[in-house]
Amino acid sequence: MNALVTVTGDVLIVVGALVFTTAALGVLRFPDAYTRLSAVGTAGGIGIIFVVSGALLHLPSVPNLVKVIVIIALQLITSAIGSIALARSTYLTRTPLHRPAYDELTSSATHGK
Amino acid sequence: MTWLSWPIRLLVFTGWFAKEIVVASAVVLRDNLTPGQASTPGIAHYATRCRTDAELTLLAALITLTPGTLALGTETTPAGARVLFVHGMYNVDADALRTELRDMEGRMLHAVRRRGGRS
Amino acid sequence: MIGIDIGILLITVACLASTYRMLRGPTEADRAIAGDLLLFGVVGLVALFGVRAASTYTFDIVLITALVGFLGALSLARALTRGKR
Repeated sequence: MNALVTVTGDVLIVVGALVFTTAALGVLRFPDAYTRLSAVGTAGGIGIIFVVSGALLHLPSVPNLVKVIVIIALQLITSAIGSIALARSTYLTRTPLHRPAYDELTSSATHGK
Repeated sequence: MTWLSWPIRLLVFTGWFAKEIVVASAVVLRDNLTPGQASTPGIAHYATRCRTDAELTLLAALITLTPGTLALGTETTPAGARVLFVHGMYNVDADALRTELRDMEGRMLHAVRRRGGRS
Repeated sequence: MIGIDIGILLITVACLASTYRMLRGPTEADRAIAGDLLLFGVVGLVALFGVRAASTYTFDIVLITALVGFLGALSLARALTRGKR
């Protein structure tokens, strides 16, 4: 029983770390800043959730469970707000899009303040 | 009656959104791990049906949390409609992206509003 | 225990890759986004090292690291626009 919990924790940690590695691969391979930000979003969302849940299974206790729930909720909120802030500044600094299939922001009058 | 179903609607939406994050992450990760680029990136103009700024903020946060889509900015038209600019990676054109957003927005509004309703 | 070591190794590789992107650019926005990934990587590493040491305070420190990382991301976004708008 105890070994099973630990092994499940190991699996969750490795899966989360793999999400991190693929996000880093995306940062290296994707063509422009906007698509790279999408890749980082996967690491900040499910990557952290997997790693922290796996860590909880290695140190299981009720106070830790509460802390992990708080961490996951805060992480979801803050990573979303951080990504929006970065996306907005990226656009405001006139970072070019790489071969867009469609772009309705540049043609809009106000440039999305 | 609709008040009683509010927590249930919120729970159903949370479950649906968790599923959606996993599906979208899988799409991004697969494109990432296979050689070449399968993405068709672009920015769409999306007129939301949100009535308050709180609903708009929540919608922008949910869009950004879904891997592959990214909320870039907002504006309010003179008519009072709240508009979002959304960057999407895996939709063939702006209308396909708007259809997806409309589905998610409808589910979110139905879950968040105490009285329900999608418009 | 071996899973924790593999996890630390993989996240370290991710941090090194984002450092490379931070040094290479090409635009300032790319550097800021790579910095964001680096902040997330630090949160993951703090969690894993805490579990490895079996420390009681692991999750408190992870919580604080995540919040500091959020402030870092906001500062990066602000610095990108030179504090205007």
